[in-house]
Amino acid sequence: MVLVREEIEKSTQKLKLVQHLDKKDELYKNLSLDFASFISEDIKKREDIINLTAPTLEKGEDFSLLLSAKGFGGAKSHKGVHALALKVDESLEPIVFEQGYENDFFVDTAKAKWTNGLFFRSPKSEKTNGSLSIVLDGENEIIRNQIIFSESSQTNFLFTTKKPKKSKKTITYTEVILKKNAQVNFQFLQDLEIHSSAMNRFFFQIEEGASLQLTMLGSSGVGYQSRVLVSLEGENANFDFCSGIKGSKEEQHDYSVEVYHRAAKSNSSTKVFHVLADKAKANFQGLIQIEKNISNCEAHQKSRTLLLNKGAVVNAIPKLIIKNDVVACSHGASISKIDDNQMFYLMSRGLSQEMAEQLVIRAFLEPLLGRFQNSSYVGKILENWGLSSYYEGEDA
Amino acid sequence: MLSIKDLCVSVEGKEVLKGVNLEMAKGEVHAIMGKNGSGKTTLSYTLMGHPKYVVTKGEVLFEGKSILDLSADERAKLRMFLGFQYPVAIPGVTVAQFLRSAISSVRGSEVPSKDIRKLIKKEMLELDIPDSFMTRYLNDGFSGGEKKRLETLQMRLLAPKLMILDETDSGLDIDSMKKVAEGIQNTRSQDTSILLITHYQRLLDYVKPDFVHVFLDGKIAHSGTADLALRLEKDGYEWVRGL
Ligand SMILES: Nc1ncnc2c1ncn2[C@@H]1O[C@H](COP(=O)(O)OP(=O)(O)OP(=O)(O)O)[C@@H](O)[C@H]1O
Ligand SMILES: [Mg+2]
Repeated sequence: MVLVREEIEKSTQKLKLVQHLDKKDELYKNLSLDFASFISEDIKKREDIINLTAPTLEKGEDFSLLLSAKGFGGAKSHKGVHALALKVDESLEPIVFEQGYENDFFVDTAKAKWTNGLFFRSPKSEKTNGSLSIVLDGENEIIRNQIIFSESSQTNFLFTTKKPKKSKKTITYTEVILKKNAQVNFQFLQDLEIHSSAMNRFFFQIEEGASLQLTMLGSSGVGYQSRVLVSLEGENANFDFCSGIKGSKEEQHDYSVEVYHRAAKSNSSTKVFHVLADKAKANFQGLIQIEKNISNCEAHQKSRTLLLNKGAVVNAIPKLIIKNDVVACSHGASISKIDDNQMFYLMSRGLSQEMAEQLVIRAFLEPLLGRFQNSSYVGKILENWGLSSYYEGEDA
Repeated sequence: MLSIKDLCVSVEGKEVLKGVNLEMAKGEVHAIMGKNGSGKTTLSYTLMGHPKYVVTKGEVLFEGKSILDLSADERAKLRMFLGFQYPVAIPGVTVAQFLRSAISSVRGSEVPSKDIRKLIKKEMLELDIPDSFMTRYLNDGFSGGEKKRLETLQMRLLAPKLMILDETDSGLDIDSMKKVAEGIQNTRSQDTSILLITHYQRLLDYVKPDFVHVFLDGKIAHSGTADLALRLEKDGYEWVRGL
């Protein structure tokens, strides 16, 4: 069924109603139309999008919209386009999330009240060339995303939310499944306006043999609260996480990364970096949980903090619930300050105090920043962090 | 060029320099030799402006102006250069990135940014430094000798007027020593001055000093010409005490 303009308009009106319906099936049906309503004219004109259809929903599916496109490159949300699914040619299978959040206010809110979101599914066994970049409009308040990386697909996924124009509170809830043997490099970048705050919830379900490299970078607003839940559900599932936070003034960042090993031989590595100035505060909680009957897992967690002055505070709370004996686990937290001798060395070569400090901070963050391929977006976030000068011109 | 008057310095509450006096004119090479722990590195750090080294008395003039209130980067911009005895490792910063920042900070418009790469390349070739150094992290995992060659490269790139070289010759193999000594000797000119801190005569064979000073207990105990270094090599330092 190809949507025509009237239908799009009709469905927009329906949106107001469906949010209050409690009959689930009805809700889902209408949600799919709701998504369609966001497709704007200019996306229809885009050459790389060859087919625009709204399929009938299968039971068990939350929502879906199909949009076939030639190739993956450069898909971005346009103004007024709130959902995109690219190049999904296969027939739909039900999306089933085995685990998830319980009693999380922001997740519940996002599920009930979302107004914007992304549905994406990569085709089976397909490899994306370059990075698939999705930019979500920062003006939207409640965002819900569902992303499926199909079996044996290989994807570089760059997911960014644009900086809002004025102070905003944003809630995002993102559910991601990596099907069997999917290989994904997922980067989440959030650029917040200085008076804004964000509550982010992520749920990653990683199936057998699938591997997720996840990197998160956020610029600071007044509040940043995030929870990342990871469920390793098949043997040899692999999760490799790295994130960075820069806090200054009186900002507070609360976040947690919870990794559940639910299958044997699954691996996880969590590394978080904090750079804290002034009276900034970061509260980090890391959980690793391995059940009794799950053997041969490897799980590591590390928190590294650079305190720029005395007033800044970090609380890194590791929590390991390991009920199996055949595991390799570690956790560690380090706190350091800027090294006088490094500063003197750099300054003796003409670098000003400020430049030298920036360089030392950059060096501290290198394991994190090294994961990005000089994206201009990362440059912008670093600029907000006061670290701009050394991101450009990285050539050797 | 450099005038040090009755310089007293404390570090971590301990008095290390106890009245150093030294005059260096333009074009001169001075060598400082002396026992371990006598305060040679402390002098070099103080001259370059390490904030931990507190001047409690005395004066240091560079080209006639007091520099004691200047920060290390300001001194670098006046074209003072310190070759470190123990160069500091900064994992996460690549050598290339660091050299470019240093050159543009110190030399500014003198070297347009498009020429920086060429300049680095040329000096690396002269000093026999492999390209692979550039993408490595600064002094991280470098061998002792490699670090010293990197210090020499920086000295060449920053075109200093005054070079303070703190044991830049130690840890070098025979070929590297020759390269480094050539690098220093080529920088020597009527407009530059060099303060060589060393334990060995060998460097002084290549870079012949105009004056040699013996450092003992935080001050210069004795001064002489190039021959003094030969006597020190033969007889050690104790005889100086008796003078
Ligand atoms: N940062 C510091 N903290 C504590 N003591 C210091 C510090 N720097 C220097 N000192 C002390 O000052 C004295 C002089 O040290 P310095 O490094 O200047 O000696 P040196 O002449 O360079 O010795 P070497 O020939 O071994 O290089 C030593 O006793 C040393 O322990
Ligand atoms: Mg020394």
